[in-house]
Amino acid sequence: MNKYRVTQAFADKQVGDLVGGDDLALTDFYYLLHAGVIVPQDDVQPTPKRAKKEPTEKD
Amino acid sequence: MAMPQTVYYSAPEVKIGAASGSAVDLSEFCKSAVVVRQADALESSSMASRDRFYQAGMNTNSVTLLFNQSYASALVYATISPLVGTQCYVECTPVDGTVVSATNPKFSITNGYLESMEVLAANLGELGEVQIVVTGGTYQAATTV
Repeated sequence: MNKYRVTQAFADKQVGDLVGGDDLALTDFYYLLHAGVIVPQDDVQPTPKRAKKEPTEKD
Repeated sequence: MAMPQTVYYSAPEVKIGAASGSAVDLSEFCKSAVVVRQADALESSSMASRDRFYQAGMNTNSVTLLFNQSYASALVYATISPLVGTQCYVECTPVDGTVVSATNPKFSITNGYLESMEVLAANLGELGEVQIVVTGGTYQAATTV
């Protein structure tokens, strides 16, 4: 089942929640997706991790 | 004179969407919310009295909301503009972030009609605002979620 991340609170869902596409009524699903209130989980870019500092001769 | 302790500080929770299951929380952008429950007055006066009497006819409920405009994803423009010309759902609770109860009832209009929306209303030196009016629909005051 595809999961969608909530970007703006709606109904009883909070920002950051994951909702299943099948858990929403079809009209609600299309409306929320169109407005950007839910986005496919795969579209959410994780925060890039800080590059590990490589030791130099000076270190 | 002391201020009564039951006065109401206006800080409602406002949600709007295609239906209750998709009602988006726009409280942080809402500046004004007015929910009106109206029953049309049908005159039932007769010559038996010099007083006028009325009975309830059709209900004509409405919600008027004023928002600070935002064109960002999932916010004011993005969530309201798809609702123009449709029947939508609006709910307002007097105190944001507080559980719905008899002292914090949730007022909702289901299948209210949103006729129009000012997609752009800009004035020099002012924040953009948008006011919408949802008319008709079924009014409900709930004391539980």
